[in-house]
Formats: sequence, structure tokens, C-alpha cells
Amino acid sequence: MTAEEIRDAVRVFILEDALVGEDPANLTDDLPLRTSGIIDSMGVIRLTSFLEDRFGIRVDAHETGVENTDTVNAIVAFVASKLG
Amino acid sequence: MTAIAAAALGGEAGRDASRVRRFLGLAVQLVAILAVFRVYELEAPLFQRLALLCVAGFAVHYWLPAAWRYPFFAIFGVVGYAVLLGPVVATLLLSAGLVFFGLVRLPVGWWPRIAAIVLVGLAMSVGRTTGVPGVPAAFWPVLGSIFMFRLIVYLYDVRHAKTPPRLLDFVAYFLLLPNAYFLLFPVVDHATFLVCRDRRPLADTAQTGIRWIARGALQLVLYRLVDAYRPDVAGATTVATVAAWMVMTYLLYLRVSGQFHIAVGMLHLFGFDLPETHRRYLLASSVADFWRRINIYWKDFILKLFYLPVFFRLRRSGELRAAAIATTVAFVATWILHSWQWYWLLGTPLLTWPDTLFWTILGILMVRATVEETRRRGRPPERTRVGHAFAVLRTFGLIVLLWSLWHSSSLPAWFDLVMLRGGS
Amino acid sequence: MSRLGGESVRASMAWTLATLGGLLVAAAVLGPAGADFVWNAARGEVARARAEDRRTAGYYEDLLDAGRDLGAASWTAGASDPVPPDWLKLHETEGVLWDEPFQRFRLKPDADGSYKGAPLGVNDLGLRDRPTTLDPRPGVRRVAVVGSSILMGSGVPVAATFENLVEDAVVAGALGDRGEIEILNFGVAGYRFDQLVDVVLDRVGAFQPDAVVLVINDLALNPNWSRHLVWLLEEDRDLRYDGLRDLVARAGIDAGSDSVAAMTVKLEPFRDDLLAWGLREVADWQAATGTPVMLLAVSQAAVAERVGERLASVRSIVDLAGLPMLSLLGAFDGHPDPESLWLRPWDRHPTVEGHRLLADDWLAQWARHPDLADLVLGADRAQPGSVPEPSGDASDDR
Repeated sequence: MTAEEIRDAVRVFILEDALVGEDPANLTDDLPLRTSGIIDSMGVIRLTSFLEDRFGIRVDAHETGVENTDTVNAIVAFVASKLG
Repeated sequence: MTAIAAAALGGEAGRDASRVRRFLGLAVQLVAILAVFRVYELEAPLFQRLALLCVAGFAVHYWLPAAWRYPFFAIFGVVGYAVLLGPVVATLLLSAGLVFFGLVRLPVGWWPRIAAIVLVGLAMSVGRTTGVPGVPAAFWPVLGSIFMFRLIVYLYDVRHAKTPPRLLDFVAYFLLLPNAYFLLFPVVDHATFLVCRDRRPLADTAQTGIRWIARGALQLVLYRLVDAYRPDVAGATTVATVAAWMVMTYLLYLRVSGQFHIAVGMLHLFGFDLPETHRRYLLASSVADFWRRINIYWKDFILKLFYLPVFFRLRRSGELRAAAIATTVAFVATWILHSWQWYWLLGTPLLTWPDTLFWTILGILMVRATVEETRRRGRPPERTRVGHAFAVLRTFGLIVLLWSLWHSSSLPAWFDLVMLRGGS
Repeated sequence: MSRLGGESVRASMAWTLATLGGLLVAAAVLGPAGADFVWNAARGEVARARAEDRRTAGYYEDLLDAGRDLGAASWTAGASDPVPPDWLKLHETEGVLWDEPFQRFRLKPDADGSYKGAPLGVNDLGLRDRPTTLDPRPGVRRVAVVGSSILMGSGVPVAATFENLVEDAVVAGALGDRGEIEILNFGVAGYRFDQLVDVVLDRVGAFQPDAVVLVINDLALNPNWSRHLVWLLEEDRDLRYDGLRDLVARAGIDAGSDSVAAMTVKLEPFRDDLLAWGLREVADWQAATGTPVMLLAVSQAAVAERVGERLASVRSIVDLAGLPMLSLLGAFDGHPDPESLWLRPWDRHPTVEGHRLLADDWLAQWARHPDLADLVLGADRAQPGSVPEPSGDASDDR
């Protein structure tokens, strides 16, 4: 799976889960999602479930921190590192 | 000179001019902020000195080469503590920090390091009560304020970090200058602190910070008006005075909110684009919404250290059950850690029935709300505008009632208040 | 409309300048507009006054207090100015005895040890003063000064209290030739006005003073003035004086069922009544014993203005009692850093320097009012036509 495929899937999820009705062009790859409150505590859990189901990876609690989930770029990098 | 060079130079001069204009715009606002602090005599004299120091530090930091800014911030924090609290207290704080850092970097396994840190922490806790000859009394609450929560977060992150921790990050993260004055301090997350550094242009981040400082100043002034007009609890013997006392007691929280805005706003001046600490908590439409809007840093701290680890451990056996248990653990932790904080800041642990009952009731309501949200898969409840307004009012009323319990000296005193016999 | 992107820099700047500008304009308008309470509240004066009163109340802690709010209320009190746990109140130390039916506690004779960083140094007669005798020494004019913690000299050595500094200065001739003078310090930290009155009526007589000085401080005037009275009611003790019983009855207090807070609230309107009662009792005692009494107003540094306002509000009561008064509320005026005269940031009792300033001011006030100096210290023998007051044995053993 390429980084672009991961990115597209992640962007679709975020737009459908946390940014319903938002113009997709406004979801930039470096937009803060966790630290801006767009993805809240329940959102983190749904994001984690999505990443596990969609990409077949296992996410541990300590991996849900902002360093891995604050931006689309960070999420893509995290998933890519999990996929090896 | 070639046309390209001339254009480049012109562009460079243009960027410099823009940078000067932005700086002047920020400086004007900061001067106005200092004037407001001075005219209204906000907080204590030490706060005024902190504000001056931060503005001066910002003025230097802004013009430094980018590579120098972070080290400057760390050193500025150390020097600032010495200026504000005296060299003895500052030296003791830095020494305590270096001891902790040294233990974290010991070339032994994780759990022996944790055991050593816990032992040192316990010794310091004893010192908080007994005092230590030659150690100024002011040292202990500041020590607690700096390390009591941030050390837990730091260790959690370090354990899972891919690279060894750096001393520069340690000093910068722990010796946050606003913490020298604001002992009740937002639990700045370590990972967030690192991620948020310099992620936007400095001038933009500083502008956000200045706005938050102004918002905080306004809240502190409003707090004073609330405090001045709040009726005396002993004389609250009618429905109107009881309601007024309860609402205004809740609104006293403006002081905490104001201080937190100012503290984090000050960090913005140095390029840390940290998240907001509160988000219109008076307009919460449910208990869960309230929890997410008030003291967001605390919520995130509890989420990271307690809720998510428990939830992730239990989720395979059912998400609803995992959510309920994780929420319960989160609120028990909140109750215990509030007492822990009180011990460090005031020298005595906090164990009162009103406090215990407050967290218990809030915890039960949150468990219920979390289970409902989990069932809804995060979809917000469907409400009309009128329905939403009613939900906000209902939540406000509930929080006001719970807050009055929290503020009462005892359960009988709260019952006296509710029964219109005057409280205490 | 997009939720993303945040606010523009221009909008942020505009909001900020509007907020700050509004606050500064309000500051410029509120004061002159006469919205004093609003302006004082916004500027923190109301909070500071209450904190000062709370500090005073907590300082002389009520053992029966149900307890400060340790929960949410502490958010408002703030943790920036904590009192260290080893900074005890007088009645928490070994330096008191709890055997007084009305006063509840008194200084323990011969008590030593440290109190707020200074030796406690109570003499064998139960006064925080130099050693002395119950009976006056022949030829020595004895003045009894009755007051609370500032007089007692919390946190300063016995010799450095303003009362002893004044004694030394008068003996050295600062106010002319007054002969041998001995000033006895009856100060006890925490005593409210009703307790001070009781000391005058019931205790100083045994020492046969030639004059009495009764200190008026903020404990008689601030919202915590009734604390001792409430303690007596809570503990079901005898109020001893009909004036106090009458006051409590008029306040409608039911000691059997009213809480401490409720009793305090019911007594609130009767502060001036208690003050009037106490001054009347002292004036009657003066008339009965022939011992002249003078009032002396004192306060801590940096709060004198507030105390002065409160004192001004009861000036008519003081005048009606017919007792002369000197005020040391200006003792700290002009000091470049009044807060440096506090023992500690959390304890505003005067330092050694503060006591020196109080002593200097008292001497200066007496110099400006020689009639009051004569009343208390006896006539200046160096003044022509003065007749020395007899004091104890008429023999002159100077």
C-alpha cells in the first residue's frame, strides 16, 4: 500500500467522522486535528478502530498520542511505520 | 548588481520590513497588556514581574536566529526562576530536576529507574511536610507544581520514545517560566509541547498568545467583580440568594480560567502553539461536553494516562464495558490526583466528603454519558436549537448545583444551604 | 462556513486591542464616574480587603471552625501564597494555657521557645515583657498597655516591641524628665476587643497601674470582630458581662441551634454596639479607679488606610466614651516599601523595623500632645510649674 493510498483513506475517514460537511480542500495535511479539538477523546478511539480495521495494524494506547495522530501527515507516517 | 540579485535583496528587505511591522504590532499589544495588568493590579507583585520578564524575553527571542530560540527559551526559564524566586530556590529546583533527569538516563532497566524516581519522590513528599533545614518554605509548593503531574506524563512518553530523552527538552518542558508564579498550572502534555513548537510562524503564534493573555486578563477582572458581588453564604436564606450564591460561586472559576489563559498565552510568545485550555465551558450542553471544555489539559492528561490504557486493555471484551470501566478509573484517578495536588500546594491532603461526593457524582454521570456516546458511535444527539438551548441551561444548572456542593465546608452545611438555612 | 483555518491575524489583533482598550477606558471612566465599588472591585481592593480580613481571621484560628473550604474554594484563594505548616498561631503553641473561663487562653508564665522566629519570652507573671514584679517598685510610674498581637510583638524579640522601645526612650529622656517609667505589655495575640476590655476590667488592676493604654486595632473593626463572642456561645460559656448578654439577646442568637456561621451573621450589625459597650465599661472603670485611660490606634503596614476608614466610621462612638485617643495609623506613611515591614509575605505583623517606626510615631504623637503624655506618663518634671504625679512610694530612688 502506498503512502498516497493511506493518505486518501485517512482523509476520507476524517472528513466523514470529524469534519462532516467541511470542504475537503480545507483539510490540509498539516492541519492540527488533536490539538485543535477536531478529534476528541472518543474520536481518537474511532480513529484507532478505523486504522486497525482498514490497514490491519494493531495500535496500542501509548501510540495514540499527538505525535502520531495530530495531523494527516503524522497519521500517514505512523501507519506506514506499522506496515513496515 | 543583476536584476535577480536586486529582486532578491528587495525581497529580503521586504521580508525584514514585514517582520519589523509584525513585531511592532505585537509589541504595542504587549505594552497595552502590561498597562492593563498595572492599572488593575492584577494578581500579586510577583505576577507583574513575571509579565515584564516574559515581554522582555519575547523581545529578545523574536529576533534570534531560529536555531537559537529553543535553547534561549530553556536558559531563559532557568534564569527567570532565579530572578523571580531567588537563586536558592531556583538552584534547588534545577538540582531536583537534574536528579530526576539523571535517574531517567540511568543505564539500567525501566522499572529500577522508576523505583528510584518513586523513592526520591517519596523523600521529597516527606520533605514537604517536615521541611528541611536550610530549604526555603517557598521551594516545596513550586517543586510540587512543576513535577507532580508533568513528571508522570514525561515518564510515560520517555518509556515509549524511540530516542533517548534530551536534557534541553527536559529543562525546557519542566522549567516553564509562568509556572514560577502560577502554582495551579495546566498540565502541559510533553508530546504536545514538543509537537507544537514552531509549527506556525512565530508572529502568528505570538498573536494567538497575546489574544489569550488579553482574554485571561478580562476573565480575572470579571472574577473580581463576581467575587465582590457574591452574597455571603451564611446569609443565603432565600431562593434568590441561594441561587445567586451558587451561580456566582461557579463563576469564581473565571480566576482559574483566566490564569490558565495567561500562562499558556505566555508560552505562545516563545513559539509554543499549544492548544486552548478551556473552550466556552459555560455553554456545555451535557456533562460529557462540560468535561471536554473545562480544563482541557487535565482531561487530556487523564485520557492519556488512565482512560486510553484501560480502554485499550479491555476493549476486546466489549467496548461499552471498556468505556464504563475506563471512565470510572479516570474519575477515581482525578479524585486522588486532586488530593495529591492539594498536598503539594497547601501541605495537607484533601479528604472531605463534599470533594469525594462531587467527583463521585460527576464520575457516575460521565460513565453514563460515555456509554451513551459509545452506543451512538460519536454521533451527536439530535436536537433542535431550542432543545440545544435547553440542554445548555440544564447542564449549567446541574454543574452549578454540584459546584455548590464542592464549595461547601461539609455535607450538613450544604444541606443547610439547599434548605435555605444559610450555608458555610 | 468552514470551521477550520482559525481566526485571521488581523481579527485577532483587533479583538485583542478592543479588549485591552475597553479595559483601559473602563479604568479611566469608572473611578471618576463615582462607580467606586465597581472600580474598587475590578481593581482588586475588595478582594484584598476580604483576604486581609480572612488572613486576620485565620491567623487567630478558631479551633471550632468547621474548616475552610479545602475543595473548590481553594481555586479562588490560590496557592501562590501558602502559609507554611510550621508557621503556627499563638494558641497552637506550647506558650498558652487554656484555663481562662472568659478569655479561653492566656500566655503561659515563663513560657519560652520560639514563636514566629523570635523567642516567646513570657515572664513569670504571664506577660510577654521584661521580668517585673506584681507590686510596682517604689518611685516607678507604671503604665499598662492592653492589646493584641502587634502590641505583643509577634515575631520580634521582647526588647524590640514598640512598647519597650517607647519605655526605653522615655526613661532616657525623649519626652523630658518623666522619672522612672515602666510600661507593662498585656498584649496577647488573637484577643478581640471584648477580651481586651476584660483584661482592663479584670486583670490590670492587680498590677496597680498609674495609667492604662488600650490599643484599638483591626480586630475590633473588621468583619471578624465577633469571633471570641461566638466561641463563648458555641462552648456554652458564661458571657460574664450583662452588656454582652444583652447584645447577644438583641441579635436573636440561639446558641443551642445556630451554627458558628449563623451566629456570626446575626452579630454582624452589632459591632458598633460592642465597641460602645466596651468603651463605656472602660470609661466607668477609669472613673471608679481614678486610673487614666488613653486609646491608641495601631495597624499593620500597608493596610492602615483600610483600618483608618473603619476607625473613622466609629469615631463618634469613641468620642462619646470620652477617652482620648492617639493614632499610629500613619507610622508607616512614606516608607518606600511597606511590604518589607511584614514578617513574611503571608504574615503582615510588623518586623523589628516596623516596631521601631511605631515607637517613633508614638513618641512623636506624645510630643505633639503633651497633655496626653502627661496623662499617661505623668508630668514632665523639667517643665516649670509641673507637679510630679505620685507613683507608688513617694520616695525618689533615681
